Amino acid sequence: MAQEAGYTPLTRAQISAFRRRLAKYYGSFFIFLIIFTLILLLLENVGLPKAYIGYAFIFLTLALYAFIGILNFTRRLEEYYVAGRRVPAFFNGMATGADWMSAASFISMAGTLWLLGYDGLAYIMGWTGGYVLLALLFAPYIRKFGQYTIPDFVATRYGEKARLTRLVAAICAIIVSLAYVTAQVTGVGIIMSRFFGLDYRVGVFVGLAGVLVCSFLGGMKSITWTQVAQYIILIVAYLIPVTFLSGKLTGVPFPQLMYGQALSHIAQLEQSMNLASYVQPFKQALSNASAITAFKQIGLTPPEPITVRDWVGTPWQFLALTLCLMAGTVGLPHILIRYYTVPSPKEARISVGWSLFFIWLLYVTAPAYAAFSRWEVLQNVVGQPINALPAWTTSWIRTGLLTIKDANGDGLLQFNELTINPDIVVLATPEIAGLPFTIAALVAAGGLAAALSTADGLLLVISTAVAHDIYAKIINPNAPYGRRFFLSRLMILISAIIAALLAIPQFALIVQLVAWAFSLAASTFFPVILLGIFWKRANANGAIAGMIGGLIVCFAYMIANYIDPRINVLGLSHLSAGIFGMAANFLLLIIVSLATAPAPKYIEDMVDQLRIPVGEMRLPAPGTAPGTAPGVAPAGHD
Amino acid sequence: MSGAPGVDSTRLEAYWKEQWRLILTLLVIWFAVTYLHPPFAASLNNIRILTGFPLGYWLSSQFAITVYVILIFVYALTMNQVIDKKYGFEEEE
Repeated sequence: MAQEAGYTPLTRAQISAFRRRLAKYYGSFFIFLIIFTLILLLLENVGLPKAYIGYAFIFLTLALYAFIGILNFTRRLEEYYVAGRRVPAFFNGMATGADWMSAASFISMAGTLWLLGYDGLAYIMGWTGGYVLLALLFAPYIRKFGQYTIPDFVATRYGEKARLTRLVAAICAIIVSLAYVTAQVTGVGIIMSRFFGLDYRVGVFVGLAGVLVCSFLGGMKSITWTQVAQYIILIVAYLIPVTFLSGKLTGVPFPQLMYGQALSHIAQLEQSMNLASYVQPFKQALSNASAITAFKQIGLTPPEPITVRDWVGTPWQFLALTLCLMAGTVGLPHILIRYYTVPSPKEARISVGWSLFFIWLLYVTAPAYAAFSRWEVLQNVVGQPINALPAWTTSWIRTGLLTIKDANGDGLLQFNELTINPDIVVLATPEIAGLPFTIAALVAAGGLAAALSTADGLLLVISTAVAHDIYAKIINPNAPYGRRFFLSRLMILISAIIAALLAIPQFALIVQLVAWAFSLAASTFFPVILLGIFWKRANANGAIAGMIGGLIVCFAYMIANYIDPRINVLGLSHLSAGIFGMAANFLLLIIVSLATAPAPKYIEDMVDQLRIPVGEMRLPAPGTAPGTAPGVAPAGHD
Repeated sequence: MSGAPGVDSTRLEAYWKEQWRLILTLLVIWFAVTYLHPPFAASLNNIRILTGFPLGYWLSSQFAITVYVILIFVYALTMNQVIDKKYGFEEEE
């Protein structure tokens, strides 16, 4: 067994010195970011070409991530996997914020709200409300368990069949994370090509290099400290443009409060133009349009187009999707492992609060982006003569994100003659607000930070699932320490390359997979971890049956509804398939556990220990047969 | 103090019960602010508040998510500062 010697917790004086140092570093970084932006604004004023400003932002941020990555080079597993469990609650909150908010949150969420109106709020509530469950039911116990990975948790808790439960959990973690990371890499490529004129494929590889410099050398330790910096960049970049836009349109630079005005204006404009109301709930019909696109792209015969309107006006899809996203949040391994990195269960509780606060800052602002740009479009674009549209539209028409077609030939632009790609809502806001290019480049750097920080966390989950869970714990438990490290790093490299190769063709299916990742996580990890913590009677047979059954039911509903939306229950779409997977998982877990022998005594003792918020766990020594007295091997030091 | 063996089980049980009362109370609030208003969003939208937000839209886009943040801090602070102390589960040192 590879043993790590001498990794002791910090003393109180060391902890407060550490916090002061962190506050000083990141405080100066924040000031530096502002000064750097101001200098580029000045240079832009005196005629620095736009391309240089873009490059300055990309290279500055990538160099910074590389610097933090190299600074945190480590040879300790405890640091590589869980950042030494020394991350203070506040900073872990920022890191979780960056880990959580991906290219999708940063760029696409405001656009989704633009398109869906009220129905899009399922994402806002779903992607924040899950943190309540995380704080109350998961995080402190996960931390008390004190392992390295989520399959570690599942395998230790359901220890009667440790290898099998670990294997199933590791495979689930890989499926969920690989789909997700591919979408992040796609996001990187899009940002690189749109803003900096790089070829999409080159952009993917430059971005990947950025991911690798942070995660390769220092694992979780360097990822954590990079993510804190990335959070600062992304939140500054997200708040600045919309604050200016709010100031310009309403006179008050406080978008979160002032977009109520925008909503009122939108309602009046809609009435005068006879448009459907933006805030009217439950307008989405079920359709298989996305399946058709995906099938065509892969070269299969697409299904017949079908639209089901029977359930428009009922709240079921909205409520189910919200629940699915919440349960999925709590089941995502890359978020759960962030709570291994704090010093204690008590810090874990507070840390979830900080995490959600930092996420809330962006999520409470996203609907403002959507409302202001919808107001701008209805007021100044729709109904205008096509040859007299506002200046900002022209550059976006060139990129193809905005298309206008004078279908009725009257020279005026009607609402239905306008097609908007959702990504434009955030990306075009600096121009709509009349801000200089430097701010647009800052937004691009923010989008890049969002995509890279999430990709980092996901790659680590994939590499540890292979190197730690499958190799070191199942295939070769006597693997020397150095080989585990080598394999971890090799797996980061390999999974990064796989993600890049999957991202190159830009499959529509990938986007779908990300939406599905939440359903898959809700159908696999959520019930198994929840009952693992709170129900002593849950045993390995139940967990295995639950995870596999949940996965199958979830996939079955997803695929059936995706191809033929007429197959549905209460009008739930494939996006909410996790509801059924989750129910199946819970049922199987409970029934099979009750039908088979209870978990052995040492596991019940383990669950008892979980409930005590202080001290380290005492786990049975590895290899002890079920039923024998627990050994004293401290957690995470096997 | 560390590990289950040293803790007497009646104290642990009482601690667990009190903790669950807190968790369930907060979960009821979480459920209410998430699920009770969307079914009535269409009629709630006729009411305008603050700078002109339709109420139904505002409850989902701002109210619910702000309550979430508060719920977590209430949980964390009550557990760390009140309940853990009452049952003697305080950090060593």
